[in-house]
Amino acid sequence: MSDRSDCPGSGSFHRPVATFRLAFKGEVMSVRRALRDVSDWLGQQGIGPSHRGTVQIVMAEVLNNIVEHAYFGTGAGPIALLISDCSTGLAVRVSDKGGPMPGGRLPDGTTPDGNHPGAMNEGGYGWLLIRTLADDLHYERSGTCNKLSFLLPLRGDRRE
Amino acid sequence: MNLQTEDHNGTQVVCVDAARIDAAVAIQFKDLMREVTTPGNGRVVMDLSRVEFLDSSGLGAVVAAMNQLGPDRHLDLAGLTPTVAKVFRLTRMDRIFRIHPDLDAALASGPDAA
Repeated sequence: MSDRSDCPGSGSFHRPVATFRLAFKGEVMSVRRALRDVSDWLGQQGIGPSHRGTVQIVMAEVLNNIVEHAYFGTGAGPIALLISDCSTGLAVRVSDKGGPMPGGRLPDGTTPDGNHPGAMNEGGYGWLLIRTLADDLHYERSGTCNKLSFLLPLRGDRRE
Repeated sequence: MNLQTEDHNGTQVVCVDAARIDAAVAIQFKDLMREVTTPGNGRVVMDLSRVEFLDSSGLGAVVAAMNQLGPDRHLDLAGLTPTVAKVFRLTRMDRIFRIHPDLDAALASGPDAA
């Protein structure tokens, strides 16, 4: 995967309307600030609160996974984020220098097993949210880097 | 993060005075919920109307709050804002919790009402 910021598709549509880059430390408070910065930028692009909420759900899961898993036990390393506004959707690229995904692949994101009243699972919902809301997820281990890319469709009116 | 709690005719209302229940505060939230709900009995209604965002860690902490109440006490939720409601819907947790539009509706509905 290159660091290009093209949108999917071909012809004139593959050039993004605008791009946003952010680099920050892989720890929870920096993730919070990054999510706020992303949301502010999306607002400046005319993307409405409902879509911004959806983007924040996915980005929070992706970024917190890096903090809690890729950088687990190694100390907080850097996270780089590139978002391209492709008009009908957002193309997102996230990279970090933490440990690889177990098995070199993304988790399935199925609903946690064993849910029943009184003993519900308290975790395991993150990849379910990511896989439900994001399209074209692609993960690659490149040297000492994890590179994740995905699309977030902006269905309907992007001002919603 | 602040949890404000009041008793309404045997129902304990816990108002979450925070804009976010996320990875940064999930463990604190779970511990504070245990603090304010024990000892106690009867239904608990969690007012989430001030919470604008909840991630899967926050969702896990709400589930943990339900689990730690034990099988004899119900945890109802009230006042979910749009993004929070979306997380509950997409994870199908909206089928596990009784979710009320707001606190008044939660209090008007008895512990056993559908």
